[in-house]
Amino acid sequence: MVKLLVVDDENEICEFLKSFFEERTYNVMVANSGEQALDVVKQEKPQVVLLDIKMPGMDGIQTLREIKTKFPKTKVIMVTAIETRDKIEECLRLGADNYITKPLSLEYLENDVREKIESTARSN
Amino acid sequence: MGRQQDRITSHLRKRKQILKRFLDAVVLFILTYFIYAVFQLVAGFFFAESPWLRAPVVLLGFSVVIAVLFYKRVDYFIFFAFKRLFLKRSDQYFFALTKLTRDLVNILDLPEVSNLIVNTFGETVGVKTASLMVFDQNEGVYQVISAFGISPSHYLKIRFAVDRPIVDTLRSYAKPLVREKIRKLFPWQEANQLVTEFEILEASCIIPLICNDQLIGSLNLGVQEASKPFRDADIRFFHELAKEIAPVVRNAIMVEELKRANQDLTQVQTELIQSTRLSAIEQLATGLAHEIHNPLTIISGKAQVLLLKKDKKGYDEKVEEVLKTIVKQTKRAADITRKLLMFSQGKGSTREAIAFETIVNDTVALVSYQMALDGIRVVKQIDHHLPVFYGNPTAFREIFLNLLLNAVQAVGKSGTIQISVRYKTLDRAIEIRVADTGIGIQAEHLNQLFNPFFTTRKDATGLGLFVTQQIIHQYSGSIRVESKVGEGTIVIIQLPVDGNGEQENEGPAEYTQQKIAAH
Repeated sequence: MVKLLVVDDENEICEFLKSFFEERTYNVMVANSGEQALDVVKQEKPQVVLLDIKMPGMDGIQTLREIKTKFPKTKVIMVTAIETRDKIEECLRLGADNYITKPLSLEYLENDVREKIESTARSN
Repeated sequence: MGRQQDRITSHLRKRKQILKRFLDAVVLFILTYFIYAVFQLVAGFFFAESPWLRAPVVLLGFSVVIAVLFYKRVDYFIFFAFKRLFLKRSDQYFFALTKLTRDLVNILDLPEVSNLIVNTFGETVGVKTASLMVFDQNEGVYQVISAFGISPSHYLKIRFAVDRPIVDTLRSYAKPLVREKIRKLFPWQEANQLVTEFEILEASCIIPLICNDQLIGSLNLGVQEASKPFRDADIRFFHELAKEIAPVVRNAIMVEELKRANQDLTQVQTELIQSTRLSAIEQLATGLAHEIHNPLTIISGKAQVLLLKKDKKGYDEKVEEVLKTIVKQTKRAADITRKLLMFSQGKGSTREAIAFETIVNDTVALVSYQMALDGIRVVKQIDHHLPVFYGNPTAFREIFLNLLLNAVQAVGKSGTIQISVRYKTLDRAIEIRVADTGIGIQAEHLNQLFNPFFTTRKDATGLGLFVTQQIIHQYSGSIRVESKVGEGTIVIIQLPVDGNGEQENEGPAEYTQQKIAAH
């Protein structure tokens, strides 16, 4: 089963995405902060991480940098409210695999996650 | 000032007055005698028959009257010639330099003051070099700012730190220093250092400029052309003159510093205004985005979940319609904050082809809710075939937003705002007009509109038109406002198209965010 980690400081968003992806037979884990997310990534090694940027404490960009240096195979999709162009460019430079803004198109998100998993499978 | 002027000329006056008296007497005598001789000749020729007209007393009387009448003019020429012929060169430059102090009083521009001083010294005293060194507060050094007989490439490099021997000595000695006398005045080692610095300045005499006990600079004179040393009287005179020149130079320096400070301040103010303004929108937009987009995500998300399930359970058409509307309307709400953020982005100088139509539509969309509430109608007239104009889209969005918000404010309840963008073939310029049927602007406020922080409203910053004007000027454009109280206001902007493309441009580019988030 594909492991997916949803990181957002707003729990309602996490719960919503969890139920959406669980219905589509994903193994969904949830983290509410960057620090928590790093722990989960270390222990569970999810294939895909959906990562919010604006979070108290360690923000999404720092988390992205950590994940990409320690676990470069993990696909990270930034899922965030809008941010400035600088931030978007920084994310892409740090190796984010996509950047999706809220409110989400669920269809697009699901396709994108599937695509990332397939590309991981191909490269393996 | 007057007293100093008296003091400086006092030792000139004695000599000058005696000369003048003597000259007066001689000139009058010669003139009278000359006229008397002419009269005698004329009278002897024409009035031989009437002896009373030939009487010497009558002729002399006439001669005196005429001599006195013409004296002023004759005197001037004779005095001038006399001065040139008989006065020593040094006496001549006494006059020229005294005149210099009078001229200087009316000048406040530092380059002008310093050039006049060095050139007058160079030309009248006949020195090979003359330079003026002043203290630059910004750099904390004494530097030569003007020179006669020294090339700019050389003298502009001359800088003395405040602890250099020459500066120290000038400050404590406070009198003109003559190179030949240094070895008598100072110990050997100090004298050697001073001579080196005299050489740097190409000077044989350095006169300190002291004002309120502070050394503000020095006047450095080279050797005289005839290579003869300065007389003690000359040096004393220069000393007196320096006391006169010093306050003038000090004032000019202060004016110069004020000008510079004012310039810096204006620049800082402009930068501050621009940055605070933009980052405020930016902060507002990202804050709003976070607060609004999360709930919108859930609302839209849950509707999408139901829509995706509909095949399995079979909703009736009405429910499907409602769900689709929810998704569509949440997207629309999100677009507003997205647009708001786009306004604040791209502070850099990226230039791209400006899509006036899109920008106007975006701006109107941002304000449309407010306008609909107030019953304001917007008429847009945008030429579809405008010439390509390169600029910073963020700046142009800001311009339209400023103008539109002003218009909305002016119209208040119900009215019309007309936005037009046209190409004026004759002016070779793109003309933007934003006209409203609002309250209008009072005549006395019209010329203050572009001042920063000028506003008649309590809730406004007064920066809108100021920033707009700054941006327009960057594109060599013009902006003017016409208004009638009670009838409305028109803002007219002209952007010249010629030469616009020559500035660097990066070609049309889409927004990165739109490219990435194309879902």
